[in-house]
Amino acid sequence: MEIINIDNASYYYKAYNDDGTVGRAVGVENVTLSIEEGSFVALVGHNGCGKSTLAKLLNGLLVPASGKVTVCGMDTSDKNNIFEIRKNVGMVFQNPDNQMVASIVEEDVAFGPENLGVPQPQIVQRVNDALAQVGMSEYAKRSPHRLSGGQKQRIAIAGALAIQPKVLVLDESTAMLDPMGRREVLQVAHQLNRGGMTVILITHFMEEVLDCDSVAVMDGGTVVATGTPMQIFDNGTLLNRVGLRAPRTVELAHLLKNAGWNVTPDCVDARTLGGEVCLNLDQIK
Amino acid sequence: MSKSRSNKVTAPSFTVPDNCAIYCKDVNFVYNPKTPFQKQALNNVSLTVNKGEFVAVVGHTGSGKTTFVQHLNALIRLQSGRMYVLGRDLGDKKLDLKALRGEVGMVFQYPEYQLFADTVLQDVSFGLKNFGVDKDKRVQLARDAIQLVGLDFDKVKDKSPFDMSGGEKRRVALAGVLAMNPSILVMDEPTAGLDPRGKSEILSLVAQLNRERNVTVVMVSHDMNEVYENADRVIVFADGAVAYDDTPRNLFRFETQIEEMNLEVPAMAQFANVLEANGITLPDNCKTVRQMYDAVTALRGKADV
Repeated sequence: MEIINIDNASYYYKAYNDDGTVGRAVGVENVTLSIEEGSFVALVGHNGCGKSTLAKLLNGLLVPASGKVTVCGMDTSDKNNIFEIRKNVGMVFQNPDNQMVASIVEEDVAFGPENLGVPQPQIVQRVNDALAQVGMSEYAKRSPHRLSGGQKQRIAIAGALAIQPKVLVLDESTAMLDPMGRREVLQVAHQLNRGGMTVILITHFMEEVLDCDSVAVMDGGTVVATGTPMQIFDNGTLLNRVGLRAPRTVELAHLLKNAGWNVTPDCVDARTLGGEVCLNLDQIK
Repeated sequence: MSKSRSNKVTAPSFTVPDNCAIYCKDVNFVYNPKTPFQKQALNNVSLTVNKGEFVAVVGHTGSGKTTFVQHLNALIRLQSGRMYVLGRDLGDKKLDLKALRGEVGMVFQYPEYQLFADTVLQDVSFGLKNFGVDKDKRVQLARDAIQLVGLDFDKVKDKSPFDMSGGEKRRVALAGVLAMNPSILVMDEPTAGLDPRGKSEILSLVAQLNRERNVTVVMVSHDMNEVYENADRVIVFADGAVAYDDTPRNLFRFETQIEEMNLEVPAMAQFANVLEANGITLPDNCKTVRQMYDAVTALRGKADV
């Protein structure tokens, strides 16, 4: 079942021309995209291609200038829907330090449901559940400012979960984290997805894309390709044009396959690929 | 040798070898000493970096790597131990900070957040202005730096840096540091948050500075693939101490230890390690996908004969 439908949506930012007159800059233009409930979708593209603008269209932070964005059957341009839409789409941004609003972890997570007017006993329940889902229960009474980046992002995810959304949008939420922090956040995202949550992951790390169900590639404000990760990574011309590259292991596997080696062309694990190459060399001997 | 610098006794004279850009011996650093938040950030750090080297500094969050690099231009003053940068004693109370900071260019994380001026030219020449460089010379140096980072000087000089894309902003910020013509370039995660193309543009620029202008590079990074492909040497920090100091190829043979420190083994190192375990030796320069492909192809060529 479709949970988000973007129908020919465009959004423009105000920009000043060189002569001082007001013009416009493309945020996104004529984007059409459908996202299935329960799917894990990656949104990729170079800096400034419109990924974050698109993310903001998904929960009505921005409303399309033309076209239509429908979330859980509700049109985001109808102001009466905004509250209901934001309850359904939780967002986590890039910088963990910019998303903390309280001085105690559990109060930070409670911020969303409090604003929605959820009764107090239910808030406690929601906060406890949300912290448990991201594996941060033992930090409930701590100060968020002394946590690691990965832990802060998990708290930010818990804050989004406390409003009980159907969709979680991670807008480069792993960009500022170290490898361990990235792993923590991705594990939580995949685990939520297995529990039925629709996850939209915006990222520059192509290794993270490998584990997604589908990928939408953006360039110049529009979606230029959609497919499975491997369909996208197989398309060298496309990757080159939009300034992306496949994970290194996939690149090497493709090069070897094209040169006639007997290797799995879509190999994602460097060690497996190494083993296959060893077998190839043995056979030659 | 006394570890404390609080005493007034002058340290015995010490000469650093000429080719040594950075020399550290038993450096310790404690944040918030004598408070409940006391934290030992550096613990007996000893290392040297030679002139013209490209050194990567890695370690997970809280390992002390940022504290270490902030010592290099005396943003953090030495508490104990010895440290010499380009022959200057960082423990010297009369250390010429201005001269040191002219020689050691520091690029922080997300340097584009520090852009502030109305135009790109003003922003890039701000450091030069502070160093009293006259206007014509400033414009000339700023032009060189802006062109060096791959931007068109005449097109961007009067633009507001805030109207530029993320990758362009980062290059403007980098140009501001490069305009000073530093001998040592210290960068804290210079590619964080950039798309793959932006990353490789910044990295090839840094590699070019290192190769063609002999700039000593100290780069903090979380991306082990880029460390593997670019650095001559990798220094791993763990719990405030230097855990490993080795060439990338040697270091990433210690897969278990690397993963225990919550770091990743680069893809091409994983691949090479499997081949080595099967008795296949690869040349040391197989760092990039292309180099690895060429090396493996050469192996098959040999096997065919």
